[in-house]
This record gives sequence, C-alpha cells and structure tokens, in this order.
Amino acid sequence: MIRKRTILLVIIYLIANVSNGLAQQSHEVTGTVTDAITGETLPAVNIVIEGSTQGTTTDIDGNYTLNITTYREDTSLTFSYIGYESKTVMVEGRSRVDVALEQAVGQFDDIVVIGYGTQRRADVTGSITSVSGDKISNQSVANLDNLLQGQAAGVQVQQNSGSPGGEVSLVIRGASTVGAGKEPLYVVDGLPISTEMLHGINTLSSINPNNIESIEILKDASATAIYGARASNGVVLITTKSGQVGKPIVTVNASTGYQELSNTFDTIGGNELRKRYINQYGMARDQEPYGQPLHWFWADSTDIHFMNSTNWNDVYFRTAQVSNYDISVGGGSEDLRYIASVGYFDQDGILINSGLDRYTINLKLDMFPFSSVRIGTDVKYARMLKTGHEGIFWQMQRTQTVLPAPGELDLPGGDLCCGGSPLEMTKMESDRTNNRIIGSVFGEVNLRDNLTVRSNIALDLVDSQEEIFWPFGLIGQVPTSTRRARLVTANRTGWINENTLDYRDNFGENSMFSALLGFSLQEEQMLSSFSQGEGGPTDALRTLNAQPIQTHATSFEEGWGIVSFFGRVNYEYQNKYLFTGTIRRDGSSRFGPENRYANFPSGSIGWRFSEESFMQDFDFISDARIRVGYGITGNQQIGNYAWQGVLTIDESYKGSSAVVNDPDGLPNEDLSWESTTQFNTGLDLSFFNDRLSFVTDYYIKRTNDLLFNQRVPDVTGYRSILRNLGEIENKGFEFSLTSLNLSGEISWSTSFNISFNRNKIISLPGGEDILLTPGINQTRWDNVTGILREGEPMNSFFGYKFLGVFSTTQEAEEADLRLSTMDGRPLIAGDAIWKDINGDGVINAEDRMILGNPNPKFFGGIENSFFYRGFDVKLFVNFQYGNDVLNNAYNIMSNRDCCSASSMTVWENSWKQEGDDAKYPRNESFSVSGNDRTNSSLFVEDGSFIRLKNLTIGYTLPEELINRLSLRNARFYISGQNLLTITNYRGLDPEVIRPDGIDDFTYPQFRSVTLGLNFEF
Amino acid sequence: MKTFNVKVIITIIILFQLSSCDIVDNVINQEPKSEFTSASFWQTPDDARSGLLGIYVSLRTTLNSQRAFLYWGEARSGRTIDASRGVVQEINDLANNRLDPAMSSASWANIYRTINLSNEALNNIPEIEMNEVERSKLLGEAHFIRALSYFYAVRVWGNVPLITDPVRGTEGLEIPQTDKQEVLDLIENDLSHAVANLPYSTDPSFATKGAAKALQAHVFAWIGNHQQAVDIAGEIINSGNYSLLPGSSYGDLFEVENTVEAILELNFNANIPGEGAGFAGQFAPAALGGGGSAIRESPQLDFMRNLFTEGDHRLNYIIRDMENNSGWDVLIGDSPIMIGKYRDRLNDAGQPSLAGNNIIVYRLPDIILLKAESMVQLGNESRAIQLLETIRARAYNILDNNGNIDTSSTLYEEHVKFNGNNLLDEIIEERLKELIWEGHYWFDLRRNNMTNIVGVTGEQVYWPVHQDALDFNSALTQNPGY
Repeated sequence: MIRKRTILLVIIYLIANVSNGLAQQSHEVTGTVTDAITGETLPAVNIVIEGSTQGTTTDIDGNYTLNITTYREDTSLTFSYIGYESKTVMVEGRSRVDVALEQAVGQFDDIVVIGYGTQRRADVTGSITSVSGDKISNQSVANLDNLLQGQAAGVQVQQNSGSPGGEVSLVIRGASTVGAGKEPLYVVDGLPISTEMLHGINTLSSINPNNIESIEILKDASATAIYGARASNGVVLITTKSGQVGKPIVTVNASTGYQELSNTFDTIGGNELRKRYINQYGMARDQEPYGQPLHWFWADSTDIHFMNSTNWNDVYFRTAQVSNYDISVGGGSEDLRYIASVGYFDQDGILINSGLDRYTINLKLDMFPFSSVRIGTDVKYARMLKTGHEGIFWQMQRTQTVLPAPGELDLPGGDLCCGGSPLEMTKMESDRTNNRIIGSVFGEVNLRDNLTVRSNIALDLVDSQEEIFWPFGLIGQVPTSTRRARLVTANRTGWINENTLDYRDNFGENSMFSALLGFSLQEEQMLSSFSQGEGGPTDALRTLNAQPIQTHATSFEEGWGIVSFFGRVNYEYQNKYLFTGTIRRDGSSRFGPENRYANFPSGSIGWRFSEESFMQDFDFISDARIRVGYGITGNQQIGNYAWQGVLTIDESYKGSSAVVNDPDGLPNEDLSWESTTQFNTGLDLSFFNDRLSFVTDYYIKRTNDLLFNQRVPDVTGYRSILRNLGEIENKGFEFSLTSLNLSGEISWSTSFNISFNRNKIISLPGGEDILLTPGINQTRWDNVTGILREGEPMNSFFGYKFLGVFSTTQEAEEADLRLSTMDGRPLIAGDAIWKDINGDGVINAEDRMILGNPNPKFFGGIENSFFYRGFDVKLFVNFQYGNDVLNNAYNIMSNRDCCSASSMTVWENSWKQEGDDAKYPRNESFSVSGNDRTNSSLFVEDGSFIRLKNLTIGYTLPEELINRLSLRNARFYISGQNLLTITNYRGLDPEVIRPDGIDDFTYPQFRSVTLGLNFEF
Repeated sequence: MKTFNVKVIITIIILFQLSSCDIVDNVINQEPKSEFTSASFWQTPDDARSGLLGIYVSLRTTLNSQRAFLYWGEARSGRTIDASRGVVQEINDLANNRLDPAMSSASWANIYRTINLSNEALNNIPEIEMNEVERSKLLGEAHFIRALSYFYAVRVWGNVPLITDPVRGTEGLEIPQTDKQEVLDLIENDLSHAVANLPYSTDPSFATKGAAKALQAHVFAWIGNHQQAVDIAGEIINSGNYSLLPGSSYGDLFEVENTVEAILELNFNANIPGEGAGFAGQFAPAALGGGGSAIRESPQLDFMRNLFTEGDHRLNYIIRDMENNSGWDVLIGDSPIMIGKYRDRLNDAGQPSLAGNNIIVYRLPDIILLKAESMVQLGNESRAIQLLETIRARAYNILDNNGNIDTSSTLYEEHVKFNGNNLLDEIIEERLKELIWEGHYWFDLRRNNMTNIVGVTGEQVYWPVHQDALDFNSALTQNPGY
C-alpha cells in the first residue's frame, strides 16, 4: 500500500513539473463582473485565461486584476460563476474588461445524450433523466448502478448484497417481466454491453464512476424504442469524459476512508439464552430434538458453552479501509483531442477476508485528419479482484452465541446442531478475477454539409475466473481430511458493428429536420469451464496441479446475436412544435425462425407553449412544454437456445456419454419477444429564468406476451416450457424539481425527485395463480413466499395471517379450530392463532392469503448543495415508502431451531406462561410445535426508510493560493456514506433487499467516512 | 475530388456490408455448440447410441432418486426398512399406510421422463442410417426400458396415461389415464420386440435378452399367466448364461457386482461425477455422508434378524454391525448398523463411499423363485419345492456346481428341506430372505394378493397420483381412495 502511494506521488510531482514550464510576456487587465439583469456586482467569479492554468477570482465588490503572463493577440478570458452562464471574452489589447453574466438558463439548453446521437434538452419529447457525473463522483462505492439510487425519478435501485462489487438490481418504472431479465440495457459510449454478474462480480462496476461525464436514463418508449428488442426495461446511457480543446488538464482524485458495519441483529447469548433453552426443553436430559444429543450447556456449568456469549459481529466484522486514486490527463487541439486516465480502487470488505480491488485504464482519442473526416478510438480496461464468499454472511448471522469464539478454546468451532462453522468457511480461499477490455474505433465522414455517415466497430472482451481452495480440515466439508481446489472460468467475446447515416435540413427558416438511418450487428460468444481436484498434500500449493485427483473438468460454449435496422426522424417547427418518430427492426438468434424479426416503432410530439404569443405576458415562465409519446419495445433476456429444445450431454452411463433432454426445455418454435407498449405524457415548466424547474411524467406501461416458464403435465416427460403468456401493467407518476434557491456569495440549490409506480398483473396463463418458491435459505417445511395473481402486484407475499397467541389454556380449548396443528395435536396455550379464511375449522393451504406488497408506494431522493466562498456542502437523502419486506432473517431467528441464532426481541416477547399476552408463540421449535406456518404475516414488515445517504463537505483553495501552486483547482473534502437511517424495519438494512422483497441475511451496506482531494493542474 | 473518392469508397463499403447476408446469417443463426437441440439430434449412429444411454441414465435416476425402487417395491410392507421415530417421514408414512398426494414416491415424473426418452428413441432410430443389427439391438433396449417403466407405473398407480409417441408442441399435452389392461398390452408388445431383437450378453448393466425375458416372466406372473411365466423363467434358467454363485461367495453379489447371477444391474460408479448412487446413503451413518438415522434398533431390525438362522450365508449381508469393523468406528460414530447389501468402498480419493452400489433389478434366484411360485399356482408342487430348496441350499452352501443339493448334510434337514407348511408362503418368505433391500417384497405380496398380511387392502394397494401431476394436468383423476 505504501509503495503504491509513493509511486503515485512521484507521478503527480512529475506531471506538475511538466506543466510548469511556460513562456513569458505580460499584460495586465482589470475589470468588474456584474449580473446582467440586476447589475449587482458578483464576488468570487472564476476568471481563467483560455488555454492556460492561470486565472483569478473577483473580490467582494466584483473587481479583479489579472496579470496575463503569456499575452498574445487572441488571448481571451473565461468568466464562470455558479448559477450563471460562463462567458468568454477576447482581451484585444484592452486593460479593462467589464463583464455582465447572464443567469444560467438551467437544463433546457443542455445537450442530452440520446440513442445514436445527442439532442438539445429543449427538443426532447421523450422521457429522459440526466445525471451528471459530478453527482456520482468521489464516493467510496464501487458500483455505478448503486450510485444512481435516489438520483433519478423512476429508477429504483436495490442492492442484492452490500458486499464490495456485489449485485445490484436497477429497475426502471417497475418490473414488467416474470420469466425474463429485469435489467435495463446499458449503453456505454454508444455500445450496448452485457452487464450480467460473472462469478459474483457486478461487471458494471468495471467503470470508474469518476470517469463519467453523464448518465442518461431513457424511460419511455419514445426514447428507448430506438433500442428495440432490448429496451423494455429502459436504457441507461453512460457517457465517459472526453478530452477538450486546450492545454492539457491533469486531474487527480485521491481518497481514503474507513467503513464499518452499519447495523447488527439483536441476538441473545449468555444466561438469557440459557434461560430460553430451559424454557424450551426443560431440564430433562434425554432431549434429542434432531436425533442427536445437544450439548448440555444449559445445565452443566463445567460445559464450555455454559452461559457463553460470543459477540460474533466482533469476530466476523472489522473496520475496513477503502481507497480510491485516479489521474487523468485530457486536452487537445483542433486536430486531436485526447484523454487518458488510470485508476485504482481498493476496498477491504467489512466482513473479514473479503474485499475488492479495481484497476482501470482508459484512453480516448478523437482525430480530425481531414476537414470532413473524424476518427475516434476508445479503449477501456478494467481489472477487478474480489475475495471472500457472500454466502458466509448468511451462515454467520445465524451462528449461536453459545459457541466459544475461536482462540479461546482449542475447539473446532463447529455449529452445535448443524455442522459447519462460518469462521472456518472464511478460511476457504476464494479469489475472483474479472478482466474487461472494451475497445472501439469509429470513422465519421461528412459527405455533404448536412449528411454524415458513421461506422464503428467495437470489441468487448471479458475474462473472468474464480479460484477456490479448501484447506485441510475445514469443518463442514465432507470429508474433512482432504484439500480441494476449484477453477471456474468464463470468457466472453462480443463484437458490435454499427453504421449510421445522419441527415439534417431546415426546410425553410422556421423548421428543423433531422433523420437517422442505421444498421447494426452484435454477437457475443461465451466459453466457460469448471475444473476441480482434491487430495493435495499441502496447503501451500493451492492450484489444481497440486491435487492428484481430478474430480471435475468441463467446458461449455454458447452465443447469441442480434441484427438491427433502425431509423429516427425529428422535426421541429417554429421552435414550438416538436415531433420524433423512431423505428427499429430487430432479429434475434434467441427466437424461432417464424418470430425472429420484430418491429418496434414509437412516436412522440411536444408543444413548447411558452413560445406562443399568449404566453409572452407570463415572463416569469421561462419555458413550458407538454410531451406525449407512445411506442413498443421488447425484451429478449432469455436463454440463448430456449426455443430450440436443448439436449444436454453432461451425463454418462458406465462412463459413456449420454444425451438427455432438458426437462425445462420442451421446444417452442412459436417463442417470441415479450413486448411492452408504453404511453407517456409529460409537462415541463421553468420559472424565473430557469432558476426553478419542474419535470413531471405520467406513464402507462403494458407488457404482453410475457416470457413464462409454464409448467406442463409431467407425463410429457418435461417439467416446463418457455411460452409467451400473460400481461403486466405498470402505471406511474414521476416528479422532479431543480431549484437555485440562493445565488451570490452563498449559493444553495436543491434537486428533488419522487416516483410513484403501481404494478399490477393483468392476466396470467389460464388465469391461475402462480406460487413463487424463490429458493431462498429457508429451513422450514414449505417454501412458498410469494404469489403472482391477476389484479395484484407482482411478487405479493403469500402466507398465513397471524392473529395472535392463545394466552390461556381455556382460550386454546375454546378455539374451535380443531385441527389447527399440522399433526392433529390439540391446541394449547402459547400456540399461534392463524386466520381460518374459509372457516372450515382447518388451517391448511386453503387459508393462505396475500400478506403484503414488496413494491414501494413511492421513492426518491433530495439533494441540497451549498457554496460559500471556498466551501461546498452536499447533503443527499434518499427515501422509500410503503413497501413490505418479508423478513426471512427474523423468521429464521425466531425459529428456536437448534441451528439458528435467536433474537432477543422474539424471546422477550414470546409466550412463556399461562396468561401471557404475547406477541410471539410459545418458545418451541416450529418443526416440533407442529403449529408452524412458514410464511406468515408475523414476518412481513414495513420496509419504508429515509436515509442520509451522503454528506460531503468540501473546501476549494482560494485562487491566489492555487495560482501560487501552479494549480487550476484544488479541493479537499470529507464525505460520509449511509450515515443515518430512519426506519421501523427490524432487519439490518432496508436497502439491501432482494428484488422480490425478501430479506435473507444478506451482506448489509457499510457506513463509511472518507477523506479526499481533487486536484487539477 | 480526392475527398469525394474517399466518401464514395466508404459509402460503398457500408452499403456492401448492409447487403452482405453472410454476416447477418452468421450472427442470427446461433447453433448450440455444447448441446444438441431437438432438431440437431438423432441424426447419426453416435446420436442413437448416446441417446439410448440417456434412457439408461433416466431409468437409473428414476429408481435411485428418493430411493424410489425401495419405496415402491418394499417400504409399504413395513417389515424391512426401519420406520420408527426419527427416520425419514415418508418411510414412516409408507410403512403405516398413510399415503398422500404430496409424497415423493407418488410422483411418476421420472418414469414418464424415461418413457418419453424411449419414445424419442423408438421414433427416431428407425430413420437413422446405420447398421441394421445395431439398430435392432438399440430399438430392443428402448422397448425394454419403456416396458419396465410402464410395468412400475401400472403396479404402483394402476391406470396411468399411455403415451407411445414423442411429445411435441404446446397443445394436447393434457393426457388422461388409460385402463391398465391397455398398458399391460403395450408392455407385452414391447417385450416381444425386445426379446426378439436383444442378444444375450455378458454385461448385465444393459438390457439383454435375459433381462427382457426376466421382465416378461414377471409380467406374466403378475397377470396370472403362470404357464407362460414358468416357460420363460425356464428359458432363462436353462439358457446357460446365468448360474448361481456358491454360498461361500454370496457376498460377491454386492462386493464384486455384475456376477454370473446378475441379469440386470443398473450401474453406479462413485468415481465418475454424476454416476454415483444416492439410495444407499440414506441408510448409512452420517460419517459416510448418509442420513445417519434410518437404520438402528427397531422392530424391523428384530424381524429381519429373526428371519435368518445360523449358517445362512446371507445373514452377513442383511445387517452389518459396524462396531467391530476396524478403522470405521471413528467415522461411524453413534450409528453402527448398516444394511449389509450396501457396501462401502474406498473411492479414488481414498474416501469410503457408498455411491458405487448398483441397483440389482433382476438376478437368477429371483427368476428361480418366481418360477417356483408360478409352479405352485399351476399345481406342480414337487418341482416348486425343488427350486425352493435349491435357493436355500445355496444360502447354506450345500449346493454343488452341478446344482445338486447335498442332502446328507445336517444343514439340509435343519434349514433347507421343505417343512410341509404352506408352500406359497414359504416361497414368498424365501424371496424376502434372498431379495431383501432389492425392492421386490411389496410387489411379491401384491402379485399374490397377500398385502393384507401387512394391513393393506382394496384400493389402497395403489398410490395416489401426485398433487403436482393433478395440478398441471386437468385430464387426470385422482385414484380412488385418496
């Protein structure tokens, strides 16, 4: 670590020296800077000599004096001030240059990146949210998608794991699919890339957030339909920084900080746990709840477990360091623009023996070799190293506190009842590596002034592997007396070729017309392998060659391709009437020949009524628009060969290969796209010269022909078939606001967004309910957690309604639910009371009901930024309201199962004796009591929260000091992540919930504090 | 006009690319490289061979997974598998005649998977260009496995759906039950194909003429055609392909496997990934990766011990007391009893493993006793007694190589000689003693309408149809009594 830093400092020093050697010839300029409308003088305005690092700021009265040491004829000065438009003025030999700055015309003059091009924000008729790079930079978080949490209306980010580089799911405008992928299409610098997890690494985290110029989230069909078959879940356009014309600018970002576990469970131990065991099992010694005798730790004071209480959080978790360093150099001339950057991100996991390292290298060149030709190339390389097992977290959190901590006693530390020790599991070496190179070249030729042809070709190579080593004697591994090594690899090669023809014309003074025509090809091939061996002689050598017995060796290849034709027309009349129409025709290898090609059209119109004459009186309204759009998009995120009916060859009989069909692969030649039609309408308003602006959108999104694994009769020899059945609707409303509340010496701006989405299943195959058994770490008899039912939101929780606990024996006896226990035993005091929905006196599967909805009623974020002199403060709060969480973690911890850790809250609130008015049933293992109902309303909780996600305080050095140091800019900051959370949710982290709303003992997010600096010179 | 030329060239290149169908075709037609598809398979003789092996894999899975061959063939008798507290709930339920549509053994999904694969083979192999002799043999094997699968189905559920063609498309998949007589007709038909086309062979891991005849004999005995059963059993016994091991080598059946006695053994191998047996593990101590609790002191264990007398070479292969098994004590821990027929061997990694145990479907003593049983039904008791005594004599090691019993031995008088009790009862008990843990006893009771001795009568001799099968196939009806 020390060496890495030393090298970095040397590099910084060298670069600083290079940019110091400047020629001399001086000219002094003075002047005053004022507000163009009010005439007030403006203090602290930044003044920089174009193409240099020199500059100054205005004083408190708006005056400045600047000595231009390298004066030339064409020297000009750039004046910039927060909340105002920057202005560049030629000096032209003058010694006094006074400047009046216009207040910023806000977002409506911004350029927005759209599919295959850019557009003025004012001309956009679709629903697009832009997040600028500075909103997500300088935070000690590896995942880009994670940083979008709360930043954009309509975008819901859920972390499936808080581990470094862990899985994140990003859902735009509500989930609209059951059997296909829910992730949006990610397009990085124009290239649609694959982002699925490889070996537990989120491949999107290969992009350094500090390199990002902007992220555009395309939400409605009008914006996304140009990406056709892959756009149903929305499109995220990521644009990385490019070099700008001018002297080289070197940017250095460095930060380091500490993270810690943000929350812990209320596990019980010591005497309290002993009391609980006695309450449960009594003092009788022959209790063998699972056919195995328990340690007699609650009666025998000589037993090492007697009254022991180990705080496992102290054993498993640590305060971990997180650091980020990156340098970039960018600049350019008329003929060539460039930017090169290198970055290093190092995050130790808060869980011992886990962490993530990331190295990134980027180079982007833009060349103009001839007047009408532009050639560009872009190479992005990222290497990620991830250590540790995410699954351990689940095992750890349920470890009983009676187990002695390691080191205290020479014991294996195995689980009392269930074998396996998580601490032992951390000794399992797991190293995951992911290398990704995305390289692209494009050429662009202006055939005529208004006609441009562009062609690009890109390669996307991902090389990923996971190495695992089980050292000698690992508990929980059968047999324990051997070593084992495993190597899993995945090699993905993708290429894209895209060709576009772009035409622009004005058909008269008052109109603008542009058209785009394109053709693209994309293909991806994946080669994966798995090999494993065991029986090695030593823990020192951990590779397969040291394992004499090779137990597994297999490889697998697959691929997919997509061919697309697309076009777009934009027309604008009088800067008031706007029209956009797009169409894409996609052909995908994933569908049968009959349904291979499909068309995805869209159209939208806009009316900028603020430009109408009748609006001229309302001069406080600076911009007002109505947008309406409609279109169709598709989803093709299914198995590569699903329609064909796959037969596998990985089984054998007597060592000879055998071919059997995939039981889920009944061929379906009619298999086709999932298609989503979306209607969107929006109203955009800006007031007071754009100091205050609103964007509102309302949408109705209907997804038809859902890709569905439908069960088939088992006499066919198959289990399921992938079919197009069913329909889902998402309707919603989005609102965002940006406001410059104060400008001047103290400036204060606010941005706020909130989204309301209502998800509803319109139809299902045969109108029948589909029960979801999502393969979670359930320990109990029934695995159903959710339901898909017509008229209800997706993934609604499904189970038994808990009504309370029989307080007294008399109460239990009087209850007429005669067969309320599973094995027919009569009810006794302390048993749970379940709601008998059909009133037949029997509590069985017929009495399950919908218990909650995992989809939030609304969510959003609010950011406040303040600037005063050199100081800046940013406060970012995100929130979510009205979603239910199935707290499976608590479910397990209240199970009183020998295998589970126990919750203090549950113990304290359990029925213990006759007459107790208790919240939880009597203290008995569910599987023994016979009155258990796996998923009950007892564990469905409100997941609403509001969280101080980020607080950053920065200080930018004053201009004179920066000049003296020959810098362009220097800022120091302290930043905190996940500092405060207000919630009633009892799990560890209401943000780390699986997309289906289940909290399943996943790795929580950390809380962190980071110190950092940003230098430019 | 130099720039103009550049423009033209680039435009032409792009236009060319647009129209170049080769690239487009390559991108959009993605054939699986590591898997076959229903369209690309069944083209070559190699496909026929590996597809056929797939049927064996499926059959092996059917009988192995959830210990189905024991659940269907033995557990309901409640006499052999420990069904006391703490064992697998399903064994307990089967032993106590508490069957319900949710239990694993009520599912026929694996059987129909095997049937569908057989149907695919029978439908496709005739179209493949290949050697006719091999084709006949492969088709014979497919007919055999389909017949065996349906035979399990009619014995377990009675009326079952009859499907003889490969499943295609998305319509017409809901198929109702057919009368069991029609299913039995198909079985007979399949078996005559199999017998005609299969050779005798030395490898009992595959379907052979002997295996097909063994199944035929069982089917005829099942439907009460005892003359045919006797004739076919006789053909097997006299074929010269099978002989009884000496009593002193009885253990070779399970320790060496694939012996001269074996007619059909589904092959498992602990050292080939995916070819290991799971069924044995459930009854093994935890240290061998087993369930750990299914065999211990219980009424069933006492019943089994009381079946045998000293000197019976089979005794050591019924129950194994592991306590004195040197080296194993440490691993075995608290549960030192194991089923004697399930042998643990060291695998390639030097670890003890039960995964190499074969499922013995048919072996010669089964056929000899089946013949004896049918002889009794035909009234030929003296011949039946001779066959019964042959099997007993072998167990007490007083049978010579020529099949002659040493009647001078005291063992003969004490243990082998027919004692004059009910002959059929004696034969059924002998079948239990010989074939215990091999999945026959319940079917023996069924065949002879003797299930009442274990307390099961009437409609309940059949299993219920599994709830999943009913839920996803509205054409089915639940079996009566459930």
